Amino acid sequence: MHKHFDLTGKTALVTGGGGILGKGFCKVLAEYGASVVLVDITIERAKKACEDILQNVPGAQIMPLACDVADKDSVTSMVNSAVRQFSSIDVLLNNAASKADDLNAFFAPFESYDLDLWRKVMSINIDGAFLVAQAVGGQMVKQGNGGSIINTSSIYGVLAPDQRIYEGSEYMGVAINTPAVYSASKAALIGLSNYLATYWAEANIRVNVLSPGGVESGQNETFKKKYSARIPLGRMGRDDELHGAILFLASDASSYFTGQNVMVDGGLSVW
Amino acid sequence: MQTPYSNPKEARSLNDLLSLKGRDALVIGGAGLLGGEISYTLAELGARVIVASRDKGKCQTFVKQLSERFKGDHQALGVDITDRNSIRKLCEEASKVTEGGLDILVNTGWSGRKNTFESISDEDWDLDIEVCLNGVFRTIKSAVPLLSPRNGVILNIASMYGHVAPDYRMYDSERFANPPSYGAAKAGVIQLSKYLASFLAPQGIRVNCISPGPFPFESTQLENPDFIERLKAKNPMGRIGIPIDIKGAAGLLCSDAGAYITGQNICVDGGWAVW
Repeated sequence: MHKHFDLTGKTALVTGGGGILGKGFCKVLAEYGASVVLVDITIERAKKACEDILQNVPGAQIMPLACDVADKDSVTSMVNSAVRQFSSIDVLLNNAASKADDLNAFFAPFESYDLDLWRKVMSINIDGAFLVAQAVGGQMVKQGNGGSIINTSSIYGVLAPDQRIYEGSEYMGVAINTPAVYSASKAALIGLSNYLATYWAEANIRVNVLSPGGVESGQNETFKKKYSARIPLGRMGRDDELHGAILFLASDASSYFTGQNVMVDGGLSVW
Repeated sequence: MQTPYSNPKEARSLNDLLSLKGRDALVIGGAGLLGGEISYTLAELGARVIVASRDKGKCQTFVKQLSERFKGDHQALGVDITDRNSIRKLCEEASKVTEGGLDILVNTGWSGRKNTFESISDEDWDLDIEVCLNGVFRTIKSAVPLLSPRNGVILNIASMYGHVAPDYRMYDSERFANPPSYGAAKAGVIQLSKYLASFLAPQGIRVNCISPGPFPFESTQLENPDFIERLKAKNPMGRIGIPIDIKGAAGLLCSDAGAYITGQNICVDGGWAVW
């Protein structure tokens, strides 16, 4: 069974690879033998994440690249660099997402939400996934060996948030909620995934979604308590609890698996 | 052949599309909490309603009230949907009332048993599946020959617990618990509805279901107000369902207003399953 999960000889490209979840995803892919292209918005963030991973996974084949996924030219040159380095791409994690630079604006009430900010977030969360899938998927078609594309969505791409849990809730000292742009962009990712699952089925490119529930990453106690009360397992997730699903979706262990949405949510969607 | 697009001058009005004048409906469990409301809805829209359940006396009392409010040759019949012969007899009797054929069949029956995963017996499980799922199958199987000549409609009442699980924290005693067999049977009803929507489409029969949210009995509301508060708090709209909430969806799905809707599960649940 182990060899089904083995990624030796495969190259995985991860956008948002320097982020809260992305760095862990890169680490687990490297641990299981993949060469990893760790992409983030700045080369500093990408390099820093690569260094951290190398400390945990000595000898990992890992390459940092900078890319603005919302920019077609930037995506093209990023994918070209990745292919030059590793000659093929077998796994793509579309994982980049934006919380914008201004957290207060990002968490603004719907009635006054700024259209430019909406577009900015959409440009990364969904346009970015489109552009990267277009470039990498095109490369996979050319290679002729199939591939696996994983898009990181969210429970909030499937379910609505319960607004009551945000009262008194903070993240990094800022009052938080789930903005509509987040839900809408994550739902769009599911639509794109389903579409591509049939579109590229003939090329044996599998396209699936990972929908994490809330992952603990510095939310205050109020939020953690209120969020956890809604979850059958009674707690928030840890980032490493997504790794099994990522490895499954990335590897040949899921070779007959496409167009699916794997909910790693502690059971939230079940009731 | 209909013209491909309606001419606004000739198009049927929404009132006309909703009208069930001259149609015959059979509602299994049609004197119950939601079944009764659906019987009222169909009679209000002009259908003749045949109300059938295990308790024929209850159906007779109900039909008396129904006929006082909405005139029409409404009828009460007895049926045990766990018994194939009883269903066959019901269809024969219904066919005599309607002089052959049926336009609408509504399945709302359930066993009424209450238990938990710990306390449920094999017999409890079998009975619930027998009534809530097998009974629906058997009734449809017997009624399709009546529905087919009239391009009829089938409406099955499923449940939110046919597609989401109950929150175990809701329940403080077995008396109000949701049995494990209930959701399993209702999930079966949802899928059977989809299956039949496909396989009965060539006969012009539409099949849909409604998944009601929390519609507790009045007795439950009086007996366990804390439970009701928990149900309300769990629901985005902040309230429990009242029988009248089911009318619109039932009228839509049973009438020509829903003529292009089949294989759907309409959730009338105050938003229960949305978060």
